Amino acid sequence: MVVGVLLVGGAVLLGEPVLVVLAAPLVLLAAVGLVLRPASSPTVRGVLDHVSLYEGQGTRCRLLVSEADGVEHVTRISAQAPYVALHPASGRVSGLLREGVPDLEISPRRWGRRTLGEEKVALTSPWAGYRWGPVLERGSQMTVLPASAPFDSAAEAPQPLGLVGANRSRRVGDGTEFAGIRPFHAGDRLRRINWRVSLRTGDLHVVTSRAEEDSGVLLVIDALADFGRSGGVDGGASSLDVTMRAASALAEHFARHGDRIALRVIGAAWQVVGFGSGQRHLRRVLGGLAGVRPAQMTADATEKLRFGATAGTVVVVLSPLLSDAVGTATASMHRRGLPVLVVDTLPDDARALAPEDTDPLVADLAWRLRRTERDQLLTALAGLGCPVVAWRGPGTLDAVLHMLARRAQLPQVNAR
Amino acid sequence: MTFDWRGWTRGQWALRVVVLLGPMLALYARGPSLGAPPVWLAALVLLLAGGWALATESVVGVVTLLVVGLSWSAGSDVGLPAGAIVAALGMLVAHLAALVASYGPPRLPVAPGVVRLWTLRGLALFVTAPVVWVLARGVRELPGSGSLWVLGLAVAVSVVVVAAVAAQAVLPRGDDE
Repeated sequence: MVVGVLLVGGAVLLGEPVLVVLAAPLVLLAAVGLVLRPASSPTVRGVLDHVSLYEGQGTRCRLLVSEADGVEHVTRISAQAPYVALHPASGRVSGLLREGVPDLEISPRRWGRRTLGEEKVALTSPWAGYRWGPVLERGSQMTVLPASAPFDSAAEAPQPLGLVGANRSRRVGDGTEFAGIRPFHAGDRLRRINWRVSLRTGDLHVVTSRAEEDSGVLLVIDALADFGRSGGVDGGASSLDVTMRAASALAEHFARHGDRIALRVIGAAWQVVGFGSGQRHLRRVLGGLAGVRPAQMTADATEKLRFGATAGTVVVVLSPLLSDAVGTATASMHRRGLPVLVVDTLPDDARALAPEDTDPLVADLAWRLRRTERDQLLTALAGLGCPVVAWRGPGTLDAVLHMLARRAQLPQVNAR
Repeated sequence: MTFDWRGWTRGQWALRVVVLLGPMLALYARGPSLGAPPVWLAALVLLLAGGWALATESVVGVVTLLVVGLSWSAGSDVGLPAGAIVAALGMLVAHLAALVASYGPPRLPVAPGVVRLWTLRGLALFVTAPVVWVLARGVRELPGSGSLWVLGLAVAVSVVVVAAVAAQAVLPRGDDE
């Protein structure tokens, strides 16, 4: 518009008609843009199609434009956030409003609480006469649940002690697993009578079975530190990545079998999810996992760890085992007679994240010392009889659970 | 402001090349009638157009088009050459390319629908250049054409407003359909 006005003014003042010829299209463009001035101020709002996702899943970020009478063109520039993939990858889309507001596809690549959908939006009036924005559109906080690592187990719980479930218990009850044959007592069901034995002995005998009960499973998460570099769901895994994905898989497995699961997170925020079962409780546990942030506890808090595990509870400790406090707490629970098993979640290629100005030789030496201390801790746990297994996915816990189940059949003296 | 041209999309490169070449086309369109522009002027316009291509929303664009326009007024003793229409085309195309490029940051992909829309609009806008050229040639033949220019300006503004309203109804708009 400025060029057009100056050229037309120059043409009038100087008597140069050629300037009018040059300015005519520009003046017309400016005039049309001015005439089509928007009558109202638009409002925009970003909306995500989902409120919760597993890492690696994607959602669509829509932009709702109201009072859009004077809007012709939409430009959206999405913020780049760590562990958030965008489509298109640049996070920049634009288009005419008549063709629909261009959508952005967002996919969190790592578990945790993440802000998705933060972007800048600019709107342009017809013939580009006026521009609205760019304005910052705040995104939404989303809980990104850890993807479950592949896991399945055919092993039964070592000491089921509940009400109704799928684990064969030591108690005689109303189940399907054969326990024995005994003389008939008043109150026994008639369909339990074993007629062959009754005819042979001359007295009524009944078949007894073992009760099927649910089991309590306590997942203990070591979130004191994160070792290794995380590349998201498609890349390398840090120790906390392995921990979360393994815990998610275990929680889903035990919830599917009707067992009660609980969560304790050892970290700066002592996070607790109580025992419960069912899909709703599973979501609570996964949400608790997604909220974990690695941070050290205070020294006195470390000494006062209380897990609230009662008899019959299977305790699964997921830890890279680089903390004495976790080792001590694990040993304490084991000495109480609880079936405790430790899942080692330290990746093979893990390295401590040293500050950039640290001498590499010093950092390497420090890491080797920590690995040595870890080996001592593993040896000490093995000496106590506490099984430690590396996370391998399906079947990781089978052998250990079988061993614990056999051990549970033996008479024990519990240290108190 | 930084100009990280390595991240530009192909569409943005194409638009900025047009922004660079449009003023040069407008400058050299005077060649057949007024002679080739001096080298210093061509270099100045090239420099300004380059700056405009890098920063499409900056005031450099205004300066570039004004320099080109003044170069035409400086040697218009030969009358109203037809090359002025080509120059108007060059200036218009550069301006529209800069406009489309400035819809977002340089790494914003250019939507094909936007290019189509502005191509149609550019053609409609360009029609005014030959019309005004014909009118201007007609006015120059009349006696007392100096005062007619003021009157012509008023008429032109009125025509522009009417044309704008008509264009709103005829040409494709973003929020129609």
